[in-house]
Amino acid sequence: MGFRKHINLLGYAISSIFTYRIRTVAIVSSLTVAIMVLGSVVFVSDGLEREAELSATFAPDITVQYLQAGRQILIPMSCARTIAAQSVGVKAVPRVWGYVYHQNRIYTLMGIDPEGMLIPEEIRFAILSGRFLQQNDKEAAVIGYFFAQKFGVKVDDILTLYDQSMKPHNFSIVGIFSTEVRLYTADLIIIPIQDAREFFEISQDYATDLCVYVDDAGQTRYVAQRIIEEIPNARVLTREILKEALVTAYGARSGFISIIWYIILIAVVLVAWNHASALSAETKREVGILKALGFSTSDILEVRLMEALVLGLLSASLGVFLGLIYDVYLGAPIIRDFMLGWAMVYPEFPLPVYTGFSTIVTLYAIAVFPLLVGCVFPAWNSAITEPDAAMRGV
Amino acid sequence: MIMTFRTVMMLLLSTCAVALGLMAIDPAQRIFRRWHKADEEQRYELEKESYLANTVVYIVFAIRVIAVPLYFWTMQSLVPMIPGAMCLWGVFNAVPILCWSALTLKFLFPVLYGGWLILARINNACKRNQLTRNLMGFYIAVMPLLIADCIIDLAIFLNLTPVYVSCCTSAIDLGPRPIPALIMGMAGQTLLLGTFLGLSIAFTIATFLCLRYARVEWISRTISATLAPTTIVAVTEVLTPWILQTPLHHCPFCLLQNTPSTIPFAALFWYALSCPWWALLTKRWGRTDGESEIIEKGVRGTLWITGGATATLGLTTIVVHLAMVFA
Amino acid sequence: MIMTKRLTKIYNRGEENEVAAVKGVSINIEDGDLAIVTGPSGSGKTTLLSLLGLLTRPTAGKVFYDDEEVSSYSDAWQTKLRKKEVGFVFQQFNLLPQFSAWENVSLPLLCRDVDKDERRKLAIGVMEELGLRKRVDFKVAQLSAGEQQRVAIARALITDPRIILADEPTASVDGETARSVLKLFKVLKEAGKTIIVSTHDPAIMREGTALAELKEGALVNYSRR
Repeated sequence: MGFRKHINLLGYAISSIFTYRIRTVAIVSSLTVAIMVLGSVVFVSDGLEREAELSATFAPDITVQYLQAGRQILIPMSCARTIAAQSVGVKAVPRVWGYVYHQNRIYTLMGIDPEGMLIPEEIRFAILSGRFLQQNDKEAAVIGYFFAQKFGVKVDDILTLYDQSMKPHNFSIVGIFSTEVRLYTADLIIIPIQDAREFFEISQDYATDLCVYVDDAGQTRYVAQRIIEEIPNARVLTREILKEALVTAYGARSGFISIIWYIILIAVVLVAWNHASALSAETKREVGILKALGFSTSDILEVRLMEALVLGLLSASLGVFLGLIYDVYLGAPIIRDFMLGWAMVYPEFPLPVYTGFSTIVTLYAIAVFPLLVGCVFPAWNSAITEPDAAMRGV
Repeated sequence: MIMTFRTVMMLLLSTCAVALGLMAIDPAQRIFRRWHKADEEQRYELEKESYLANTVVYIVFAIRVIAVPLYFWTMQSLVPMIPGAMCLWGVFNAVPILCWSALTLKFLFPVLYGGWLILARINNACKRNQLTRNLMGFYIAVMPLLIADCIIDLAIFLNLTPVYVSCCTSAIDLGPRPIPALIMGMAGQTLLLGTFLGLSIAFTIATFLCLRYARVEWISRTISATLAPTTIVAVTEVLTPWILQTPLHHCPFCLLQNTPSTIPFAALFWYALSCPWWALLTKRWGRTDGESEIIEKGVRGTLWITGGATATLGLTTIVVHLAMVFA
Repeated sequence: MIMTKRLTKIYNRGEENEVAAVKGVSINIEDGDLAIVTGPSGSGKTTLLSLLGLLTRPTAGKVFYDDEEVSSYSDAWQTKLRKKEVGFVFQQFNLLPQFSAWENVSLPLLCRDVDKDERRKLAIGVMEELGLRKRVDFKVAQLSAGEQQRVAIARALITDPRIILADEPTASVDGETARSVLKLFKVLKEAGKTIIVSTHDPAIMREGTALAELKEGALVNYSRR
């Protein structure tokens, strides 16, 4: 009941939109740009947050670093023994890693013990071709997908890296990570820990940091607390803290842009109000005629608000679409550096983009509702035109 | 302030609602003051103004309804950013007074606006819009709550910082339970569940009976007032641990989070428990003459029917969940 | 059928340019009447038609439809009544230029539960009866004054109203069109419609069954045949 009538009014609203073209173009273009800017930031932010969560999955339960004068230094292997001795079900595995300069970009060279380290199953599934490191590997490497693309290397190729003495070290590529873990592996080269010790000239008595694994996940905080108590110089990072730090960083950046966008939106709403308020004699006459023909005040209000709704939905759809084009196909050139924060030295990789249902709904809501708000008063002003106006030719 | 896309959008929606709500106050008070003294022509002018107020209220209601799930989504998205938080309870504890107040208003506020919409429905059905003054008066009375609701939302998101909080386990699972383990030889949880089911059935029957017997209306309201806190306690003490099969965990947010199929139960029960109060509202303020009385009676009948139906559905939902647990 | 009691309309009440367009008019129009409202320019004919058609509120007095007082109805209820009972033919035609002829004719159906195909079918049906079959998809600017007037009449008839209010329907058209309009009114009257026409056209006045003569807003003569 009454459904067809609303369809008819919607049709009338759409024809009005095409009748008043200048107003339509002004509102749609400004709102589309606003949504596009916001959407592109949010899609990247959501993508990075998701990647960060994924990356945190691969992290150990606790990462222990050693500090001196507030800066990280190599951690003595005696700390690993101290940690392991805490209780049953706690294991501390060394990791040796650092940065290597390769063809004008900085990469992370990470040496791990694939047998001693509890590699999450997810990381094994994240191998696109080849395999992950194994116990007896020597001078082997697993690299990220985009590294392989950029340098045109594949499994069984030789990768030559130079240490700080400019001595070459050759590694045979045994595996390539998939794009599922692009953020985590974009700059990562994983090699056996012994090779890393040779590369960075770090002895057996030290490691860069320790990966601590706790059998009972509920005990993680307790174990972390004990480590802090027993190794005062330690910086203890649980997986949760790492995830929160990454999610907070990307979330805060998108929030900052949202504030700027908020200001743009106010300008858009003012444009909409201004255009809608211009109740020309022609518009008044039209409304008077419609009311004389049986349209109620509510019907006119509905038509005007439907116009705003259609414009809002159209602008949001265009904005979302263009935002995705901007992120996915153009690589979000202006916002990328701000969002990543370190793109200048880190290697290039396509930006992770994620479009969640709630994000899309929210984008549509914040496109439509402020426009409705801006159009309420002008819509009402138009709707209360006396039908008498048609009779009197006013 | 934790600045994310969602928190900034919640600020925007709250600001829109406040701006609109304030826009409608002036015409509303003018109509309220002048309606009963106005002649036909003046009343027509006031009626034109009432369209503005009505439109604004409809839009504000739409914004606040959308804002309820968005509020929970937004708070849920903040869980990783609040150290110690593992569900909504933890996030609420970051700004406890404001968040728990906001939660209460998010259940109360739509009841009030729903009441307004029902009165507006009756008014539109009357040939002379006899209830316009009552509507405007009600809106003026409810406005402070709308402002409070929006300001609280603004205050929450402006004051939310990543402080270390205790989550639901330490807040709700530790310490003595509100109901004894044994009551007269029977398990306290079983007794509570029985009370909840019994009251729900009684409420459903009373609501349907209200269609024929006006005397039963106050019984329905009394049961509704009793059933509301009973439901909250039952959800916390019995339904959450039983449905989640975590005997020691009582957080209702975890229930909604981990078993989303219980969300319709919450929505249906909210509607059902609101119906008797909407019926009271229409009885008090929805009748000014013979015509409005007839229309109001019809609307009240619809409320009783839908209230009974949604209570039945809600109860069925929860019984099905329990049956699946024990099956 | 339609009755007024001391109907008064004052524009700009309380201001310097206050005008009493209609003063204390009481008339009684029966079902099936062809009622004529006449008088010099500015005598309040258009205003009286607006009041009878519930397009405006009286400052004082009442309007009755079938003994039911409708002038105090809410705006929404007056619109409902107008939608159901009344069709208007305006002096200036008042067609919307952005729509075609059939779309203008079907405008009153937009606020009803009638889909587009049905609207077009009904519009074409009425337009055929008025000899406009070949002008269905023409834009308003492509129609002659006589055709525009017939489109306006078709628009008033498409909802099959009981009452038709026509404000100077022959003022802006040629003699032949004026004659066809009169012929149409006679047919509608025979079909039981109540037609209220404000006019100076003697041919239409001769056919009237009730005559209301206004001067400076007041009713100076009301007679029935």
